[in-house]
Amino acid sequence: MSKIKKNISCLILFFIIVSISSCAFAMTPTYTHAIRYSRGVGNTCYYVDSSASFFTSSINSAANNWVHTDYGANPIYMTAVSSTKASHMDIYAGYLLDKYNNTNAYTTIWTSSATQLYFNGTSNYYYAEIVLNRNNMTANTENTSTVTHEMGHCFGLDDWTYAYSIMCSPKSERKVTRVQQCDNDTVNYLY
Amino acid sequence: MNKKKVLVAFIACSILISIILIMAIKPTIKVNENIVLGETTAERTKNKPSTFVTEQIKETAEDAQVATELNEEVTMKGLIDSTENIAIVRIISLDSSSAKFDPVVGNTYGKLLINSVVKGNLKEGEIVDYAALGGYLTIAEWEQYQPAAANEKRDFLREQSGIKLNKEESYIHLQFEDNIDVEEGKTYIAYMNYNSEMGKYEITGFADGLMELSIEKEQKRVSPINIDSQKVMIKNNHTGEYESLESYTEKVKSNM
Ligand SMILES: [Zn+2]
Repeated sequence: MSKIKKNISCLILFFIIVSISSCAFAMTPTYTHAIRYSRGVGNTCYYVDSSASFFTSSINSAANNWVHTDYGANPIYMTAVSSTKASHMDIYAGYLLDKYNNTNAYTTIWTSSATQLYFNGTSNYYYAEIVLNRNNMTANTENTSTVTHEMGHCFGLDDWTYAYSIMCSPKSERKVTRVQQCDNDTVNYLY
Repeated sequence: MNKKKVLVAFIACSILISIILIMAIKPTIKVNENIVLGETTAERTKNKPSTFVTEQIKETAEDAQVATELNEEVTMKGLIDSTENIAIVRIISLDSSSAKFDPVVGNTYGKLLINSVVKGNLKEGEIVDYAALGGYLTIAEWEQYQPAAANEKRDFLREQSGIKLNKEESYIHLQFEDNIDVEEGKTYIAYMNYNSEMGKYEITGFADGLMELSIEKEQKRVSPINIDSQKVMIKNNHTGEYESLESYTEKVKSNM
């Protein structure tokens, strides 16, 4: 009887040690400000404005890539919607001025009362807006990876200099065009 | 009795004369170092730092930050080559703001003094109209240049939240990550191109085109000053680190 007790105690101890060590070695992503969608990502509704209809196929491919990442599960599900009233992610496009020729796109985050927030702040956000620069974005594969990267910002991921992350910025010479393991891990860390 | 009346009248007169004398003498006793005798009011207030951004606007404005996706790293050489004028400037005023020429973060308009020239044909001591990136804009002004669907959404959400906004009097503070706002009375190094459509010198180069120098904010009158470039420091907007103006301008000149 005491032997069985001893064995059970050993087993419990083993599990405790394993779980503590796995926690310590689990990746803590450095490329997030740790703020996220206040409504979660289980049904992320995205709206494509008529100004961005040129990019519809790139946007749909990017959304599909975040749902099916090739690197295991994450809680993201995305639905295209035709109204902005309850959407999480609104995508617009415009011909930005010449001084923005180096800018592919920009993203902003907002509260449920339509106040803009800082990415390096502490408050979670209700929705995000992406604006794509039509002057810069012409080639289709680049467009998809740019939209995928911007969607990453919407989910709460920050820019990263690691070339094998979709969150690497083109100016830091990103080598990948799709969501990677590290990006998927970060989504799972945030949600 | 009469003597008493004379005495009272004498004392009263003395007090009156003393008051008149004190009032007459006062201006010459309390000399303001900024007032030169014979100066008119217009001359006295000339180049006094001023701004339309009141404390109340600063406290109540929504703070908005825009994160951009750059295609290529901006090099110092690239920036210098694409800039006509590089100068040490002192900001006299922030007069107004508009999103007409920049729907992303808007522009702040005002006057600045060219303190010294690093590149270009501007003259030292010259006062020019500038347009800086970002700043404080009324929501009404900013929304004029935003997509209709985005404005409708914001109106809908405000209504849902019970917020009644006077858009003409409510401000949004817009700026890019790392960029700084211009402030009246402060001294900067500025990269500028003349924009004929605006009729102003447009400060360019984002966070690398406007950097503050470690010179005390001018409170009284913006005028040209001598700058010791070994002692004065320049602040890098990306890292927050300082380097001497001398070492910075040497780098600029070696890239020209
Ligand atoms: Zn980015």
